[in-house]
Amino acid sequence: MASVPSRELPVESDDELTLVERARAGDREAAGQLLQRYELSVWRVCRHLLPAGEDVEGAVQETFVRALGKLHRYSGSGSFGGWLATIAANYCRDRRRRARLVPFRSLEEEKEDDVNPLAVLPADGADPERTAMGRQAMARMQRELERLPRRQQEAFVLRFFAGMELAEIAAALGVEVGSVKTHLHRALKRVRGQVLEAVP
Amino acid sequence: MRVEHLTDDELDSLLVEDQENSRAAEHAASCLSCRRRLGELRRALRPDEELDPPLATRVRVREAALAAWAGPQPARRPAWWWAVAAGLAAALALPLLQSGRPGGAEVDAAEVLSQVDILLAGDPVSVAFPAELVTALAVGRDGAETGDAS
Ligand SMILES: [Zn+2]
Repeated sequence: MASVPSRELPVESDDELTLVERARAGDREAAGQLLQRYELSVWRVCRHLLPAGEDVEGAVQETFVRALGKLHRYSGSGSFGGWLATIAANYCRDRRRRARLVPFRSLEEEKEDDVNPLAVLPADGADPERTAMGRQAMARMQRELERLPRRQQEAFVLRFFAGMELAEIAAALGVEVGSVKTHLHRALKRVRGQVLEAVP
Repeated sequence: MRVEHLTDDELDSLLVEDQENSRAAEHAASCLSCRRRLGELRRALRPDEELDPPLATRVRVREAALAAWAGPQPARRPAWWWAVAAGLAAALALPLLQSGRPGGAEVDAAEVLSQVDILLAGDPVSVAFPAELVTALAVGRDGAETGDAS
């Protein structure tokens, strides 16, 4: 994974593989360390890719449980963080598919005024400092993201909010690296305006 | 002389591909205006840390996932574990078999099973010895008693 400005710890790959091996053998502490290293990326992926109004905390927990349950399937060829973020993205994709099957109301029916800037906030993520304008811009950007085609949306979130390398994203989406670049360029074109408004 | 600044596409390429040695990167390094545009985009595309959950929430969710995780698979359990599991199952099944004999006390299968469930709650042994097996021991397949009449 590329470096994402965050509070996550730097990772040595040898050290990481050792942790994976220990976790596979049932070492809870090693498993906890692996999750801790990349948990912020998972929170961010879920925050941006889950359908509006869905439980981010539950999605993160489910991602962790799924990852721990199939640790033996992690090949070690990509970063563990990328693998974890991919599981999160797959879970969110599944939730979006279900949400589409039982639509509460279509995106087209929603009006700009309906944007709830707090919708992108975690339940207990109090945010007293951010200005109302900043929140509105963030919400509009999130809204624009939600309108992107699925692969553009996922590529965008995995690249910029989970810090994944292009090759990792390509593997996660099951496409060529060239396609990832195209998806990212198209996504950036669509959200550029909202992105710049949201600059702190 | 007119300065050719970077197009939006070129700026996007720098964000998408980390092109350190490209012409666009060289221009951005030497042009204040383009560097500022690139910086704004980079800042805007950074994950918003203010929206990240507090540490306590992260720890709680992580711990919940670890608790839900079964840890090593049953196949990796040592031999002594299976010996203890077999002994426990036999101890549980014995009273059921005895009470199922003719003349013995009437078996309340539901009551016995609920007691077994309580004993086995959360224990993987219950996977190896499911309720159906215990039922078959206590009560015949068609509800008849299983005790040997002889
Ligand atoms: Zn310039």
